[in-house]
Amino acid sequence: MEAIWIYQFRLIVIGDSTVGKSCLLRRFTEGKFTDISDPTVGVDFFARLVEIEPGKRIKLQLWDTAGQERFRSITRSYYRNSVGGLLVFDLTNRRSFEHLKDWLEEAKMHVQPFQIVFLLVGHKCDLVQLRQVSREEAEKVALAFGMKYIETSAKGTVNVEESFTLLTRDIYERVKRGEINIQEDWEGVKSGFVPNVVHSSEEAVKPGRRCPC
Amino acid sequence: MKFAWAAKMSSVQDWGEEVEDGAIYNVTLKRVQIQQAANKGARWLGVENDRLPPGHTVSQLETCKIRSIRAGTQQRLAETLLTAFADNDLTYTSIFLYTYRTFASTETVLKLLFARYERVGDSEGASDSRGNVRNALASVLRAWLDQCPEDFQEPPSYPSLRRVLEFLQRALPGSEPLRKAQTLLEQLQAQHSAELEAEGGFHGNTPFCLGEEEEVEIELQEDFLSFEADLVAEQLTYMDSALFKKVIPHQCLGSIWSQRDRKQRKKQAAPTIRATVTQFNAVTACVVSTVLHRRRLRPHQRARVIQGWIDIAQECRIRKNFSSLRAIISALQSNPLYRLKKAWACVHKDSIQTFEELSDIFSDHNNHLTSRELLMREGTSKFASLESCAKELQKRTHKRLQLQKDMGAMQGTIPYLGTFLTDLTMLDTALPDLVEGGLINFEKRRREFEVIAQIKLLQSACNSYCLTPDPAFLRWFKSQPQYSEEERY
Repeated sequence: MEAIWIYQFRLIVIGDSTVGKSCLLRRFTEGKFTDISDPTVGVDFFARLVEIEPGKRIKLQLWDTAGQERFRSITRSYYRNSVGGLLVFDLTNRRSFEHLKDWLEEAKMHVQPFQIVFLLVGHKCDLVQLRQVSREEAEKVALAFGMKYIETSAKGTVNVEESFTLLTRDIYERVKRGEINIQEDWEGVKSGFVPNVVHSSEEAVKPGRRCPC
Repeated sequence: MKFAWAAKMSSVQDWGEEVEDGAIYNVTLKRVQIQQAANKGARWLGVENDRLPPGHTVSQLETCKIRSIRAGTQQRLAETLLTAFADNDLTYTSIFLYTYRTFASTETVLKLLFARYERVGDSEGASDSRGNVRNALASVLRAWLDQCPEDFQEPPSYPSLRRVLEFLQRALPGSEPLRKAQTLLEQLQAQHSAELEAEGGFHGNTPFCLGEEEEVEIELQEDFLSFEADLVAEQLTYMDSALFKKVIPHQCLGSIWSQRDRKQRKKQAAPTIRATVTQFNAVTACVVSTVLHRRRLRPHQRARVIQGWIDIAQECRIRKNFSSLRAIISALQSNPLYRLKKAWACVHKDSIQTFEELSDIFSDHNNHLTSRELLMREGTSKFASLESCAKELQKRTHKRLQLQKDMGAMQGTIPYLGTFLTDLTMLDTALPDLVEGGLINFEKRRREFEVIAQIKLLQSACNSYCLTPDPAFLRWFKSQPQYSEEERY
């Protein structure tokens, strides 16, 4: 039986090809609440449930295009149908930090007319010796981009869980406030199983018919 | 069917592990009728040895012990090349040859193999054993020269190939592997000097290049709509198949393509893959630029161009060219074109239906199950199997397919390489390089090879295409402007 969730969010993970996006995703999804198993590769990657409040679960559909970064039109096509994204750079690779602006610009261009909520992720924080970007500097950039910032490490499993939950919570709040809406031709947010919806709408129609007599 | 039968008849039994110094083996016992059930990789390669004619059944059950190395040191893995066949690990040589670059260099492997040969001679002295090793080594080298000639592309002195030659001349004079090695050296040298002559040489990172002899002056202002859809599809397929055949499968491996190894990052890794990607992006750019073209194009004019590309996409589908098909579809789905609501409103509804059907092929549902299944089904079939709902299109498609069959023109298959690259990246991420005791995890390489084998099989199927270049179109294609991001809006 499929687990019940109130919303499904589609998320993307973007950033240079060597920053460790797949590792991050893998850490987040391995062995935990995964309900999609891929027979071809035999690796669970693609979905996870997150409990946002007691009893309220959100299904995250995660898009990983690792290995396809250079097929520009393919990665771009994922933007439009995503509600959130992890913008990842490698703390030990200055260039991946400098490329953030390009990634963001591209995302903005291809997400129209919708919008994406981003979280800035400084990855590989376990490699202290090799660090090329300071926390202060990254936080400043995050502020300028209007995003939250978090530092993670898939190796030491530092903040992996937290980064996805932080982003999910952020999106959830915006959905609750009505800043983000479910739309028919958009895959970014879908509402989950809510029992009895069909019946209630039928019932709502009936009383009106009786009135004129 | 055949596989199902084989699997049913053989019962596999895990016999446990054998641990030796520097190596761990998985041992399985199989009750087999005639032959063992080939694993997925071998199946794709067609390695299974069904020598018996169909209908000729020998109901003889045999128990066969399969000893396959799961992890080992560089040395043990290299030396296993010489013993795997006797251990019934029949695909080991192929798996090793297509994946070893992730843990050893060509030079190292050769050194280890030759050292092993010398050691047998020194210590055991038994001519019989030395003969066995020599034969095993000869067949490994033959497979190597056949399957991965690019490994020996080390101009200008070709040290690895010279080492092989030197060994063969000494140990196996006049043998077939020796002739092969000599031929290969001549080929590589000729190729190299040709490249030096051609200005700048081949960088591998350029999209398809025209041959030098085709210096025909052509009016460049050719209109896109003046090209027939099937001509365009054929020419795209011509370019794609040439590039796909050149793809060196091991460059697709996650650790090589994603440049996980920091030391490798400086070099332009995986040139054959880059060339394919560049071509893909050029097709996408071409779709975008022809549709946007002049700023004042009217919606119905744009609609005609869009329809034109949908026709071309369908023609790519008939030719089983999933690479350009995907490039066109993803371009039409991209935001700069997708947002042209007025133009799309003018596109004929049959075309829209075709577009939707073709888009469905690449739906990401269930990890791209549709496109994977399609590739499995049609990968090596002679023709595409098409079922379309759009009436008009159905007629045309059938006519085209019939024409192909009448002419005996078989179709190859060109996959969208990205799916394989993602699979291999994921495998690389999910499985560790080293296991207990720092041994190289060869099980990981076996899994990767299952993907590599699919690529190889499709590459060989690709030889079925029979296509001729059309200089006018190729020149037009090359002259297409690549819009910058901003200009697309």
